[in-house]
Amino acid sequence: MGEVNSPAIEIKNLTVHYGKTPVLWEINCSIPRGILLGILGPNGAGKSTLLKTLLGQLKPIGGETLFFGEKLREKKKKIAYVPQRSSVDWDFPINVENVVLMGRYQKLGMLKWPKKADRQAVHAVLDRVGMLPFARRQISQLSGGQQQRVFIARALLQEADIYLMDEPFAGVDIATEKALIALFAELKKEGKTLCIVHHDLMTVRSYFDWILLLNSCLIDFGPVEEVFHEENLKRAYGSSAYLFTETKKLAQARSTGDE
Amino acid sequence: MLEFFTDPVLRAPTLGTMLMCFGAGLIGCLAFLQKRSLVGEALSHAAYPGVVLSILVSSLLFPFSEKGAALSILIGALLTSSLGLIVIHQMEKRLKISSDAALCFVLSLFFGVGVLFASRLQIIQPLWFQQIQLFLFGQAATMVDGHIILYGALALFVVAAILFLFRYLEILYFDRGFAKALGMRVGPIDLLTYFLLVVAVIVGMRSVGVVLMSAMLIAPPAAARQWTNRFGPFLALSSFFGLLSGFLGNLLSIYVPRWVGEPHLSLATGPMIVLVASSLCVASLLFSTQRGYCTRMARIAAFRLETASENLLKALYKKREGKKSWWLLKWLEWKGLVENSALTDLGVQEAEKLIRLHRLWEVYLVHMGQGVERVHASAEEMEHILTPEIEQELQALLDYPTVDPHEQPIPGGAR
Amino acid sequence: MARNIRIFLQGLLLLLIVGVGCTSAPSSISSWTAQNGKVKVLSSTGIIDDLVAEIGGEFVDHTALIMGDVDPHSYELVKGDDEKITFAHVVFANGLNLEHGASFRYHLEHHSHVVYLGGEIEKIVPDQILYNDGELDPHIWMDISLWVLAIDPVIEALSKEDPAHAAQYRANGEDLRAKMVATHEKISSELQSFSEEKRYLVTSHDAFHYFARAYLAEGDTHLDRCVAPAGLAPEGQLSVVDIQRVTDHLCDHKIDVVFPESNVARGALKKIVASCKHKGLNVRLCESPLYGDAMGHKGSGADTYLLMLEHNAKVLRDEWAR
Repeated sequence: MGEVNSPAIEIKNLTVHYGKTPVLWEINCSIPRGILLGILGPNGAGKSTLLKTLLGQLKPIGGETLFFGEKLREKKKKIAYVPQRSSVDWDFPINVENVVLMGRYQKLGMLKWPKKADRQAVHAVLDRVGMLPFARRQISQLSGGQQQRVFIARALLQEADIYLMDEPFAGVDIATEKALIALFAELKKEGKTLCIVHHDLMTVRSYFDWILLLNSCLIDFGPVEEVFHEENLKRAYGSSAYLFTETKKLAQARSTGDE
Repeated sequence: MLEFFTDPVLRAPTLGTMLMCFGAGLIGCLAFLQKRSLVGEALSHAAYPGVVLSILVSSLLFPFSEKGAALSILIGALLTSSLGLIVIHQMEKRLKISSDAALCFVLSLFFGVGVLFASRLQIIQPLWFQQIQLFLFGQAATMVDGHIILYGALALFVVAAILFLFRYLEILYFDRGFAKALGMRVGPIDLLTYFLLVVAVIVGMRSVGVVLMSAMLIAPPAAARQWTNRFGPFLALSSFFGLLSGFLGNLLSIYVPRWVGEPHLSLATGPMIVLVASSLCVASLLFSTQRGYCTRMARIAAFRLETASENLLKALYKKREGKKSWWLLKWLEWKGLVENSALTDLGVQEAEKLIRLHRLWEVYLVHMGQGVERVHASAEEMEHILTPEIEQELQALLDYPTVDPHEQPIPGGAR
Repeated sequence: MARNIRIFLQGLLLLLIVGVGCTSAPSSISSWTAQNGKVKVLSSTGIIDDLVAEIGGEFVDHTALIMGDVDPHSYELVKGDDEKITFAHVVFANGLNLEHGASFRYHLEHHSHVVYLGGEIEKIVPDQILYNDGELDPHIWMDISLWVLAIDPVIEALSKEDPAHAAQYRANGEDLRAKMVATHEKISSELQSFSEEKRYLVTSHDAFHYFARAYLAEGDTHLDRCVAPAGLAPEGQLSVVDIQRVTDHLCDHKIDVVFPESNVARGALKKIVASCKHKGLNVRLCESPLYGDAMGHKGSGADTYLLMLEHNAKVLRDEWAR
């Protein structure tokens, strides 16, 4: 059984391969509870891969992850995932309300019908993200920021303790971004742990408490004041890092037989 | 009309095709949502060589058994259709070929092989060759009561599967990543939906034929999509359109010859069903209440009318000279804004509102940094578009201005 | 392991394709193109070929293009056919729109010596040609009294190509004419001996109108005597209207037997029999088929023209006598 004070997420020697190419190497870190963690790194660094592996969608070659001291299977209901907006089919015939309702399916199971209490919970959560007037709107009619808010609402409905989000601010207007970061701060106060893949280095200091710098291997991990400095950034994003990315691409090409 | 369900000649084609189209309309939704509607076309054409080859083989093994031949046709079609599906899948995943190229490749290759063997069959087994040609275009007219049971079973199976998988499918097709995160077994569900598709195609070949089968998988969902934005009603409406097409196709193949006075005119049921389904689709595209082309044209025309009449209203208010379209005047009269070519009180109010919006917008544009000379043209358009809510926001934002950038007063502006 | 299975299946498929493609049609092109001094006569159908065989005898090299049970209406040329046509000295076709496959028609029209037998008969007795809903009915061989008029054009064409044996052709032709007239009389008397209510014929496609008019009808009610779901050509699309029409016809005239044909699928007739049963009329599907567009296989007892028509008459007699 997990201890009361075990960290939110513990990652030990995690290694993930795509085919024969290593995408994540020996990742080791211990993410404490109740923080806003920013996951940073250049393109192809393995940030989305890390999230997917944590969720169990990808199988690692080695290492393990623990959530509150236990395996994923025990704690799955306590983890909410907000995927990249581009991975969704926006032409699907569904409205805002029903998208958020999906957050309840884990609790309801696949066969039970949602009750009035569930629908009220949906409305409450839509109100919290400021999307209640759009409840009946077809999702293709929403702007980028509005779509993102709907996804956050769905994650909120899952009533999880850990939130994993993949680039939630991509393609989103400033007003929405400000509203969302305020919401995340509220969630942090409630004791939730948020791990967010982020791409805008300008806002890192103001948004996050801790950061995880990735470029297939762990560059650094820790509170933002300690870790977010030029030397680390050069190691992650600089020209030497660029060489690393190029070499990785070459390895991938060789293993799939491309030219 | 009831005789379509009771008369022994009519009931098998009618009920059989209705049930088949019901099932196809339901399955077609899944392919439609995956944006892979042409898979049905590729699969039905891929079934053709299976049909031909199975006849060739069974004529060598069991020369005279008709039931054996019917069964082997089904199995052969199932095999080559599934093979076609596997080939498409491999081409897309392994060889990285785009979806439509893979579909067309399988369609033409398999169908070509089928035609090759069929021309051989024409010489060896001419009687069975005719049977196979039936599968190309279908022959609903010779369906018997046994087919009703077969298609009923298919429809029931499809409905049961979809009802059971309803939630799964909704999440899976909308957000695959979320589905996986919830721990859904994505692979088996995909496999099951493909299996349903293959079965629907094989079983449906008998009534509408290989060539037309894909229409029944595409037209009902495409039509239904125009009328609803929710997953459940989408499925229900699509299967209803399928059902309706099946019934009307049978109806028309009997009644159209009577209506045009040629009672012996022979209109095959399969093509009639497809014609009805396609007409439903076209009608939905044109006239559906939200997205229909004609509906939108009508809305655009209505907006133009409003704009023109509002411009006339402004002209009357500003006492401008010039020809005034008399029917626009009539329209304003009918709305109570004009009487005897002069504005009523209501008309004055409306005109002032227009001018207020116009000048308010000009103030806003200047506030945003536009040059004073350039704001008039934009305001001319926007005065017809701004809503009372936006007006309130503008007023608050600009602090209730009383004059516009051209030093003209804003009527009713001060609050 | 999976790879081995794949290779095995691919090899099997390849073998199947090559094997089927290599098996060639029974006719030997080489003997046809050999120059042996005889007149080479190509007929479109087996029925015409039988006529040529009787008249030409061993002085001609004759063969039919459309063999066995293949449907002559929609026949398109296959590999080897245009060689046969090119090397033929004379081509006999039925005409009257029987051969309406496009490739076939094209090659027929461009041959130097083609004789349309139906057309020749039409020239002699134009008012005897039947039309079905405005279209020419090509099944003129089903009436022996009309088909006998094709003997002279055949003699003429053969004599033109081979004047040396003209006398033999004429002699054979006269023999055949006598036989045909005799058979015609025999069939007429046999079938007319049945009462008028019995003499109804329901088959798979509209091939028997000439037959019905010659042997079954009273005056000109042949259209009522012979009814079928499919039209002049069996490849046409069927609709429920056709099924209904035939079912109603059977119920109206209380007919108790329908006759399938040797080379047309029986699905429509089976459906009609089932529907009549539901309406209370007990109809049976005759076990021996009739020969309409094609003669029987060798050894079936209906493998020449006259035998074919006699067989048809016998089947009708046996069924009506029940």
